[in-house]
Amino acid sequence: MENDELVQNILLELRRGILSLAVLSQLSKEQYGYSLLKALADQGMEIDQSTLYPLLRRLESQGLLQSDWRIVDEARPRRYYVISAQGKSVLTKLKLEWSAMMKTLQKMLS
Amino acid sequence: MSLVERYIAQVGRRLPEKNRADIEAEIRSMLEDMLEEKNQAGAANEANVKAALQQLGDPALLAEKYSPSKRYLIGPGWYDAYLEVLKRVLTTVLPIVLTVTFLVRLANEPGDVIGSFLGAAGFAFSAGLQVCFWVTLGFIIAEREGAPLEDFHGNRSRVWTPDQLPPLPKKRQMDISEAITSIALVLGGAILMALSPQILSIQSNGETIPFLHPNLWRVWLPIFFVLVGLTMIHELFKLKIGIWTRALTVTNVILGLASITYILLLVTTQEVVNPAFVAGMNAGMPTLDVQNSTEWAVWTVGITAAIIIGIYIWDMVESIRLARAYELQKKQHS
Repeated sequence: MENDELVQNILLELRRGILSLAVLSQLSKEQYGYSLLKALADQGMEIDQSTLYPLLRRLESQGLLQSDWRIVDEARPRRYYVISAQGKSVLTKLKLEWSAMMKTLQKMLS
Repeated sequence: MSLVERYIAQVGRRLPEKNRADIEAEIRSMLEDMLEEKNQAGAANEANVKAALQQLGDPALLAEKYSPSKRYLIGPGWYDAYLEVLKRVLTTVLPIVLTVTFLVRLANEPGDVIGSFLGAAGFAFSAGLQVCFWVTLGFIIAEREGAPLEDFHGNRSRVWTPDQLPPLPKKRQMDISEAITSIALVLGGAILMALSPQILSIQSNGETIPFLHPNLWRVWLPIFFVLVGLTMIHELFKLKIGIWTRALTVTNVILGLASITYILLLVTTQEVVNPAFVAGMNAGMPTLDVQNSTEWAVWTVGITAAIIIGIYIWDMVESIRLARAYELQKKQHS
């Protein structure tokens, strides 16, 4: 396998793990799918629609998000997602784990 | 919009009924958001729609991401168990089915050895197909409905400790199927002999003339059946123990030597072939002369005896070799 391809494969695995964390962190304010996609992209986290939408659904079915169809600012009805109480407490724990992991890896990689 | 609807239909038909409408509505809304943005940059046109759909990709893959389904019949969790069960069931069931049907057919149709065997083989083949089908079906159901062998999310699965490791299986030196095959052969031989007045015979002038000399029934054939009985018992012990232990090897050698002695004595001291059989054969086919027929009969018996003795010698040597290997292995482990 080419090196580039190997890098892409490993990156894909890395991203898969942290996407849930990124999405949860951005949903303290409610968003619909496309606006969340833009918000993530603006901060440098590019993600496919075909990945994000099913992910939102999975997080909701796990009880970490809540959603409902709503009309905001007289636009079309859209499905809005927001973090749930359970999601908040999970996110707090995940943040701690993440920063511990960051410290460890920084030590290893420096 | 028809392209969009066609795309949504392709995704929707792959989704479970339960939340199909909801996901379809969501995809529609997402596409409208995408198109809105693209159309601000230029005119609303089909090229934009196509670009947006291209971005979402293959509808089948999108549907798969929404509801990951099992795209296999038997997954890695069950696969090993599946193969093991299939192998065990086939190797035990098939020889039994083959033997039993062969004997039943032979009993119904004495004399037709080849026909009975072919019929039994055909039956065993379809029995094998049945076994494969039902075992596979059982595992497919277990895969879908059974408790997952390893649950990724939950911690429902019990905690594993090293104590749960099963002991190493005793390594068998004798295959189960091999033992069953030899039992079937011995049993088949015994039945062939028992039925020999009918099976190994010719019809002459309305009379049944057996190939074997009738005198043999007084002493020699009863001894044969005793030997067969002892061999069967020995085979059953082989099946149960599975390893050439010292006792098993010694009895194997004794039985082998006894059988060889029996055969040698039988062939050298007894008249095995019925003279009436040779005469009857010659009467049926006048072109044969008596001298040749008698020689033919003696040769047949001699060659059969030689082959059987060869098998016995090979079996004894093999059992001693394996017993030595086993002893050596035991020494290395202790």
